[in-house]
Amino acid sequence: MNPEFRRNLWLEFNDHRLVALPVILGAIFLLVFMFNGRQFDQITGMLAAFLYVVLIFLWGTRLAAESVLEEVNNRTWDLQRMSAIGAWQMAWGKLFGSTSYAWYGAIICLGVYGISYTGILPPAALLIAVVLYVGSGVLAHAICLLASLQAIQRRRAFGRAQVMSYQFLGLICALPLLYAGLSGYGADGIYRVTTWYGETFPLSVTMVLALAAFIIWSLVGVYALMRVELQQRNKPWLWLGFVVFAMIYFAGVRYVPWTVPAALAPLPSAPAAAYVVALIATYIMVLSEAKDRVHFRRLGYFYRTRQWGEVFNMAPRSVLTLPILILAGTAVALLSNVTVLRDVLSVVEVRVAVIAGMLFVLRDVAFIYFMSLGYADGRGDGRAFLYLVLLYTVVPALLSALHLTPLVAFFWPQYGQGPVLTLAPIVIEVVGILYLLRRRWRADLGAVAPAPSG
Amino acid sequence: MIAVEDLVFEYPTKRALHSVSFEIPRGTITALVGPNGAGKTTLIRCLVALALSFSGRVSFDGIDVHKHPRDVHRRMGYLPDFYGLYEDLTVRRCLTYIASVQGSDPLKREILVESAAERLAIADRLDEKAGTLSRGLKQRLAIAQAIIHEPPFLVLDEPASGLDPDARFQLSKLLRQLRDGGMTLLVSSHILAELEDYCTHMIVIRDGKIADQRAIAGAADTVQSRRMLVMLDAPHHGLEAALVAAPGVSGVHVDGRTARCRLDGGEAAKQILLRALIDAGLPVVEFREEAVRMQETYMASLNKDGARDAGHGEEGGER
Repeated sequence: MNPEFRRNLWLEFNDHRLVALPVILGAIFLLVFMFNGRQFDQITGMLAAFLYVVLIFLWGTRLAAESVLEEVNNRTWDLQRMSAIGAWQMAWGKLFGSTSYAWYGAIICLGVYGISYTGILPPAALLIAVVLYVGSGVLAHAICLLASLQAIQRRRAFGRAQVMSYQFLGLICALPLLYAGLSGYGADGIYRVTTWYGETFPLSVTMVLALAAFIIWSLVGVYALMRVELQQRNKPWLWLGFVVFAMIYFAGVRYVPWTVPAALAPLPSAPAAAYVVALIATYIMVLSEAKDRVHFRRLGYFYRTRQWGEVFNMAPRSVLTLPILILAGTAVALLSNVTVLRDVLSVVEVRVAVIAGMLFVLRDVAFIYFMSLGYADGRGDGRAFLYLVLLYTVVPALLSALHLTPLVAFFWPQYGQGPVLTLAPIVIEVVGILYLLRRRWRADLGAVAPAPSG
Repeated sequence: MIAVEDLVFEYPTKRALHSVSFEIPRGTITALVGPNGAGKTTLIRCLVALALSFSGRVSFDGIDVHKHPRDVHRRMGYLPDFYGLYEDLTVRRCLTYIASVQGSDPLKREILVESAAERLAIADRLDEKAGTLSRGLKQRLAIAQAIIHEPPFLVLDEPASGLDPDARFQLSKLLRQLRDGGMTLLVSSHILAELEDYCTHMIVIRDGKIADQRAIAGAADTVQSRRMLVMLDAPHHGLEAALVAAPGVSGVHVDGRTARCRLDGGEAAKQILLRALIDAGLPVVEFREEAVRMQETYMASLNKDGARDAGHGEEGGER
């Protein structure tokens, strides 16, 4: 047996805990069963689903997020890093071992859920619902572990707030898929459908497949980050592959319930969705990845000595995502639907606004790195994020209130101001921040002489 | 066995190791000593591939530890200065877990657990939870975890902290046993008197640089001045004069029938001094070289290094 999984079982299960959870859950279900006319029906089924959600999504996500953080806090992480166990064994041992007790209770809940809905839901719908519950639980746990592994690359002390934030991340990734999947078989007994790249598919089955794909990607991510902790190096292809996959997936989804604002109507939906995914991926990565100054010194050495393979491997993943973002943005600009526009000028305006948007991303990434290199405490990016929030919200609101609308172009991509007024401010900002970043980076590299190892 | 070449380690605002180079021979116990903040723990973490150096190379039996960290980890044991234990697990399960993750043969695992527990004198605690053990017993458990897979190279960062005198004696004995069993050890500690009991070599680190590296057992061969002890049958008024008159002798201190002094030169100088004492008619009953104390060597290394730094500083100032 995987020793890490077994160690977690040792910690999670003892004679008392082994008996306590079934007894508590059994008592709850028995009580409801008795008051429900001694039958299993939708009421017991909904209660079972509710308890499952509590166990897996509220408690299990905490256990998953803490599985590595507790090792760090309790100073046992180095012991594990020094072991001979492989990254994959360590990853799944932690993921399923740390949450094993929550799953123990969850399986009981799913059993009651299955019994309750037998005869109410068609067997296929019931099976899909169970798969959705289990899959979304695994995805939520994997995301929590992924987030905590990403976090320990930056810091080595964690409190309750961090754990809760990783739990939140797990929930917002998994619950929409669960909700969408469960809504695939309506109370009216009709299977819902969805379209993906114009083709019609059963909604529930599509969500199961999407869930499976995202589970695989999250496990790949956990494995890759575990390798980093075990002092093994990864190439950036996994991250870039995930970004491209997410872009392709979300580009094909038809966002029926959403009403598209008039200003966005000319934008081609598929490339625009892909662009938004790349945008989100870039910001998530630039804010979460480690920005160790020593790492950049090493990167600088490889750059100066033109070891491009090493430069590619060590380059920040957020920076490597930028070319993908630019490709998607360019596609959005070029494929803008001119037929819904009044004239050629409007087409130009849309394209200029999209280009300005990409320049804003470039400015933000450069600004975050500029701040990160300026603070040795590793919190430069946090400060940068705070400033960016102010720049995107308070400052433009103030300028608008003061009727200084043209200046808003320094803080938001504008539409309808003309190419010069839209692009000139952000071009000035980008050039300025790139110059400052280059200067700060070179100043930091100045003290370094020897060639890096590894 | 361990070769370190031009190792440089940087923190964002500080260079912690400056082109550190040394070798640790197989079958030795090397003491890594230095003041607080000298870079001992950083150096150790580079050696065990838990921290990636900025430049330089660390090799273990020819394997680059930074390129192949997992290959090296299974052949190393490491006890950090601040370690944690799985406090809710029994001692047996703690040891079984470590033996498992180190890839030990499942059929031999129980034997390894009991052997490590016996070595650290915690065999009677195997079924107690780690969290219930005293600080000293926890320390023993942590050391047992570090050696359970019988690694060829063992690194211990402050292993004696928290141990009572008896446990420290047992630790010294254990480390000697491990060395005699073929293990190579690196021990970092502030308690030089204890290191002296079992260390064969010493590395002094200061401000991220190697201030001194030497064999302790053969220290007398490497230092220019030996410390000699002369004991007479009874106090004699001519003892001090005879010592002062002898060539290469300095720092004479006479206390009754015992005298201590420093003697420059090799084995021949000792012969000459002994002959001079006998020729002076002194009733010599004991004549021997006193071991160079690690504390003195350590202080001498630091002072020498400090003086050199000061000298460099002055040179720089003159420029």
